[in-house]
Amino acid sequence: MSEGNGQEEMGSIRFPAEILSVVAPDLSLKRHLDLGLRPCLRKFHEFKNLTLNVKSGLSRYDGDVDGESVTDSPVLGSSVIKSGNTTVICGITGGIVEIANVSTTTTSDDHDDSMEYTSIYPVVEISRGKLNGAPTDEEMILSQQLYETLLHSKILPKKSLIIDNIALKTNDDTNNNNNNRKRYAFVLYANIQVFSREGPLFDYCYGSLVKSLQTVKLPFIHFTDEEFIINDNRKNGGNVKPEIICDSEAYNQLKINEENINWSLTFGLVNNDDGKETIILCDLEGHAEETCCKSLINVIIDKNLKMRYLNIVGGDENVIIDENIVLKTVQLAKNRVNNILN
Amino acid sequence: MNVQDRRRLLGPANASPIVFSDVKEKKSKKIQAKPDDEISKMFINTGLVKNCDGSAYIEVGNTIIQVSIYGPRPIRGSFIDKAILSTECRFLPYLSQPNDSISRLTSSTSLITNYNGKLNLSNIEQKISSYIESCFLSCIYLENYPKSSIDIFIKILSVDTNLLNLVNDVVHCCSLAMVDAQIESKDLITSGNLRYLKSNNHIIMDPKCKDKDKDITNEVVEEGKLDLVVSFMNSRNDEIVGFWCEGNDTLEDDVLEKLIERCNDMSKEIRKNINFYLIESLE
Amino acid sequence: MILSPAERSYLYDSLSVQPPVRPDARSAHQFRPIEASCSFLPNSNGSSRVRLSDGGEAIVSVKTQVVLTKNESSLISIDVDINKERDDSNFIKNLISSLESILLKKFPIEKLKLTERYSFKVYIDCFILSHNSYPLGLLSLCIYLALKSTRLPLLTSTVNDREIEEQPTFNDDWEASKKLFEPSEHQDDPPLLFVVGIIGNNVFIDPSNEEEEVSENGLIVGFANGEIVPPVQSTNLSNRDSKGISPKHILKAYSMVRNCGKEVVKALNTVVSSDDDVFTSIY
Repeated sequence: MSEGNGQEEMGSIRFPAEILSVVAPDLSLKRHLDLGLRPCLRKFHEFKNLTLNVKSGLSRYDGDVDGESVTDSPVLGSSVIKSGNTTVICGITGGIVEIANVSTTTTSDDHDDSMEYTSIYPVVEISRGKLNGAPTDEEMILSQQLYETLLHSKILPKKSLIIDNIALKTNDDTNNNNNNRKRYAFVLYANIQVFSREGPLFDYCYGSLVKSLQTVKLPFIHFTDEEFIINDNRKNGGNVKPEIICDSEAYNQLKINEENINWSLTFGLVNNDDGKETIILCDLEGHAEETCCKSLINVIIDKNLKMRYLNIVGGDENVIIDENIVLKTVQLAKNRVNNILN
Repeated sequence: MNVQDRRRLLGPANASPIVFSDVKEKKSKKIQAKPDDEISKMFINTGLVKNCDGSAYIEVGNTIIQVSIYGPRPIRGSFIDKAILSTECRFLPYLSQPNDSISRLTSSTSLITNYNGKLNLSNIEQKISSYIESCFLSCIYLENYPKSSIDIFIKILSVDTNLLNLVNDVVHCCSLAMVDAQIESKDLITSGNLRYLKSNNHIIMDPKCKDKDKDITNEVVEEGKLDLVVSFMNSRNDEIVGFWCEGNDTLEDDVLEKLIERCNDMSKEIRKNINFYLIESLE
Repeated sequence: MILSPAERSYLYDSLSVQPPVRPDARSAHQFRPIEASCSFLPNSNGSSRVRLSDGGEAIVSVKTQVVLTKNESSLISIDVDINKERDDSNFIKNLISSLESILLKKFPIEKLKLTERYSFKVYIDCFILSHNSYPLGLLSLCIYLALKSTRLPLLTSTVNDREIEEQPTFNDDWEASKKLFEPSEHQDDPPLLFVVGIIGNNVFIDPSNEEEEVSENGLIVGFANGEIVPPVQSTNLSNRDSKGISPKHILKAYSMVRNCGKEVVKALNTVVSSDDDVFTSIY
């Protein structure tokens, strides 16, 4: 690994850049910053290139637009995001849940987000050579963060998941039209796979989640009462659950609040050698940057370039975060989001 | 299941799965039939995933496989004189796994509501893992890596074929990743996959068709067919490192001999292509 | 088991000479003596116990239950339990899927069908008390005996219950019950799986623990009605010194299993027909 001549003193050991960034990340970062560069060789305010693909072929209805038939996949919406080396694949599947028969039209002003809006249940899996077992801290934290961010972004209204297009397939259609019929709603699950973990993962995962959500299509629902109901009360407990069958082709586009579509960006803050100037780094990448930037700013900007969320972590006592830095960060974020979303 | 797992967000426990009615069979004409004696085209790429020692990506039709190899990396614990090889194959949780006869018993997949709750490897995943492991055990110079482990992680991102054909592609993807990881091996493993139809003594090379799910009670007598995947080290005297045959027919010696030979031909053909790719990527 | 280099080399050499000299002086196509009995569990429809000379022992119980056909994904369920092994371990799952793979294809499903709505569901529970060598061969013999001794009660109610809803009722006279595998011309015997070890140019059936340790490779071969049936699969019996094999090995293993299989079936059938504890040495 070392390139020094064997006989010389310790001081002459030289490391290639990528090894130095692992053994002495702070040194590697400092040396790069002195040159006006970052360890990933980007400029300070340069973002990684980002590719979004919402027609990944994973979803059930992906082929439908081209006039081709649907597949038998259970995926209702999907997207693939690539940024730098990192690839994030998100697939959304669904389930059906019985809901309490309350009117959903009541809207009061002082309510929790969770009254009117809902979220997706995401599970993030980062491939990093770990044999099967418990999810890592990072995976658990990311999943929880994604859930909460989406909920409070007010993108997914509860009522767009409620099933109201039920077609009855029974013979005794008439006497079923009473009020105590059970109501059902969809629940959405997301599985997010991360390959080549690098950089601000939350941004990519959240992006893929939102992008996937925009493509979600909910199938039509039919009720079929059991073909024959068995007189066997002992074994079946007497109540035969009506089976809910989803139409294989007909669907509704999921209605979401397009206005609230937003994007997350994370910035790292480091101070220059002389300690006075604070440098904003976009899209942290690589070991040196990710371990040394303890001060982070996370901004979520919506489609109309309004700031929806701001989180400042001042982890590094040498980094001075003044309002100029924050304003500049938000401005950088707005420009970037304008490029991505509009 | 949902109650116990507090580490994942699995949603409400009383949710029931979305059950789709059957997709109407009309897409069959869309698929361009491949001549039976032709190997389908594949797209291969290596080194895409950066945080591992070797990786490969392969796309054959609608089947997409990604393999990452971590190793040789040090192990904890007592001294071992040879590397430990371990393999883990996982399908993306919402994929329907090729429903070969062996998975029929365990095909409770339709009952799963939240695919994220599926933690253990399915029988199919275990079976593929074991096959790959046994192939590479005979191929890697494990004694060159004492005190280490080599872990192969196979991710099936999309699948549109039968089980043994999938295994065939997985073998190639793992071989490429092995090369990318620069792990010392006796040879590069390639394999061939055939379907033999007894009724008209017909051989389909690289069969891409999906196997239909069968009803558990119907006793439809299917025509006699054999599926075979054989993995070779073609530069080492065509040694067989993996052999797997499924089907519902008896296996006669002369047929078997012929099938192995044809598999070998296919394996050599693929080997040529992989060699070409590797030489290209060096330049 | 850990062999010293000297032991390993001695075993390897003696097993690779022509003809092989096996440590227990068996010939290549000879099984270890087994002690087998069946129908000894009063609460099971069929049961068996097999003990090997090396101390390996397995008990299989077959139980049936009347189920609504449409609620089941399969009418056969196999479970293997080994002391100190996790149920979801690769080892157990591979055993189960090998057994499923062959049993499902050769199972008389039509005999399980009772009425339009109801069927028998067969649970095959295998319990391995101890094992030294790879237990698949032992398990397969044990399942064979258990299935051969399985009896199903005679249905006394009507077969057609599409119009009239009726629960099936059965004759309580156990003498009137019928066998699941009735020896007749139309019906096959349960299938068997054989484990074959490969060293040098030699193949040998039913390898013992020491033989497995020095095996270069192994094969699992299915056998039913005097013929080789899929699955046929290569497997690593030990994870040391694996080598590739040649088609010659596979063909050799074939003819060996084909010859032995018939003898084994004959011997097992005498165990079933005598129905008592019998001490038999197979072949």
